[in-house]
Amino acid sequence: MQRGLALAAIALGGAYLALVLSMRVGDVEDPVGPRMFPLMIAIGILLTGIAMWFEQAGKPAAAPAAPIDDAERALRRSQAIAVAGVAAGAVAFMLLMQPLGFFTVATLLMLGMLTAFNRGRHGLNVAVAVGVSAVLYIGLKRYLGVALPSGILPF
Amino acid sequence: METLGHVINGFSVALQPMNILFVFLGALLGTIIGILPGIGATAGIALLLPLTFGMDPVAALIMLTGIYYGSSYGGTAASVLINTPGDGTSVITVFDGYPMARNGRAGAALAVAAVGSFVAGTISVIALTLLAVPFSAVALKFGPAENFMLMAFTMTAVGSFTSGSLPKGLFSALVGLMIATVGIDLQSGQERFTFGMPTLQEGVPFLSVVVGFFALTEVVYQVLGWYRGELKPIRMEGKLWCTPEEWRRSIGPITRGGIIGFIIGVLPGAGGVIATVISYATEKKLSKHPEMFGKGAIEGVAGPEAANNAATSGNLVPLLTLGIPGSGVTAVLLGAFIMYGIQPGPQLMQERPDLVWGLIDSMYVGNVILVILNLPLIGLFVRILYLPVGILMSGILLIALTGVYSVNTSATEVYMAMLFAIAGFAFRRYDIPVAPLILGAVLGGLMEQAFRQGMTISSGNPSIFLSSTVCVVLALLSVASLATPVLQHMRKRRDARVQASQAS
Repeated sequence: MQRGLALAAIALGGAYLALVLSMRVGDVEDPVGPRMFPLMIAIGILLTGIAMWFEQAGKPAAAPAAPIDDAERALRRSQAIAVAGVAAGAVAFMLLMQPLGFFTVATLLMLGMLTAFNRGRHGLNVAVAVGVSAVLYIGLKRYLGVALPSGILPF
Repeated sequence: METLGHVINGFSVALQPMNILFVFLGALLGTIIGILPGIGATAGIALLLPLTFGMDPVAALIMLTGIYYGSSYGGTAASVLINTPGDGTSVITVFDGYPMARNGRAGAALAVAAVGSFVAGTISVIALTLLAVPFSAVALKFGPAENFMLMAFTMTAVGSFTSGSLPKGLFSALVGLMIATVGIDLQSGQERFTFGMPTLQEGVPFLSVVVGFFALTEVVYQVLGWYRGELKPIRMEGKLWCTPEEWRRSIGPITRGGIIGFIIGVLPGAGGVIATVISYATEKKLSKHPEMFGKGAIEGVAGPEAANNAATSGNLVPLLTLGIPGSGVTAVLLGAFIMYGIQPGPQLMQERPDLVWGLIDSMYVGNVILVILNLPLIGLFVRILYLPVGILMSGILLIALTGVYSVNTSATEVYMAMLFAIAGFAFRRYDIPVAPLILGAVLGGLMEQAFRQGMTISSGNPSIFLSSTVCVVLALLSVASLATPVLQHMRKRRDARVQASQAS
């Protein structure tokens, strides 16, 4: 896995180097221009990627990982679904903010997460979701002048 | 004498009612952030930084700095009561703080940590006060070559010492520098790596980077951790105070920890974690009962906690006097300064002494507030440890998304923060330190500017970067910071080989 990381670093350095080399540089006043510094960084990333590879090569081979049982597999599946759900919630929050308004989507996002991760405490969850969203909405909009969308609400 | 005048003027700023309120808010939020397991000062400041946009810069910086040193007070509670450090600087406190709590001495552990932090914190702010003028006077003589070499040294030191792997630390720093190259090149006006996106013309938004790498990544880890079960705190028993014998044993460790912490904190790359480790090792070596360390020795809490707090002031020395952060958290603070259109460094000390000295003096006030919050009121704060993690993670997510959006009302910047959260997850998964990346992202623009100015002055001759004594010393320090982990690695391998040959 660590060797994969080294390869990823080399790939990143290579891609960045390609971008640097493809950069069109016009007439510049300073002796090095806008390409020199990025070029040094790209070479540095490539070298650190290679160093990571050799660092792993010098280490004794890792013991084979213990087999994953059914419970662990189920746990990891639940974790992956939960992270994907939170990410989807965050994206939906951004997409729906303009049409529905900040306060509404913020409350829905928090309530959704609290329902999933603070189960069985419905009253508390509603109070926390509404309270935190209201504090953020009023604080940012009224006191710091941030243009948060009202959406379907009149305020 | 010059310093005294600055200090007096600084207090006239720090003691304004509004600024006292923001010192209090910073100290309070810092204590809460420190207590919450997993969320350190860097993530806390990254999370709250966007919400300060639009505030008076002096008040906002006073508050953010308060969060920084306040979190080093609060971190003790999680270490002592749930055997889980609030952040890296509280890891050492777990060794003896948790056994003390299990022996019914949680109150004594928390009391000695609070008093030790106050004493060491005050010692280190005095040291910061005394060093600020001489440091900035030296820095004023620096030209582009010296500035470039100073930044190069900082990058190599942070890259080398924040990770167990030198290539990973340097890789992180270089990725940060790479991020900093995005946007319109200020000298030629040419666009670089913007892919036609207008948002990127002014560079990758700093807040997207820090909120993505710290706050949103933390949410992902909390979601994963939720499935493994919540941590149950030990109930605090007995008085929140130490016995006379415990105080007697703690005086030396607190004093030594304060001095060690400040000196280590000034050095780039070292920071609070190393300060606590050195303090703990020193106390164990000096103790008449080293066998008690790890079983609830109060010296093992007093020394590292003092060192941890003193290191925060030490960390601020290079930031305020040279404009160069030496750690991830001070890099985020530098980002905050830049966000408000302020460039810290020797020029700022001359142009805006009210801000710099107001900030330094606010730390005296903050330490007094913190000792009050962390002694009589700590029983109230530790209740935060009982906060359901579901509430915590949903709150962090909402504040993080809203914060990034609110600065420029830009959804693109929020999506970028989400992408950086994926990168942040990968960094944590593969043990790549994030502090060098943040440092690179913040310093990259200044570093390139210094590099190009130096090359322009020398008509393209790179020997300018070794043309003065300061440059040569900084170059040697950079080489030493790169060589140290390599030599340590070689020594470990040699010792392992010797042990293996002796065993056979």
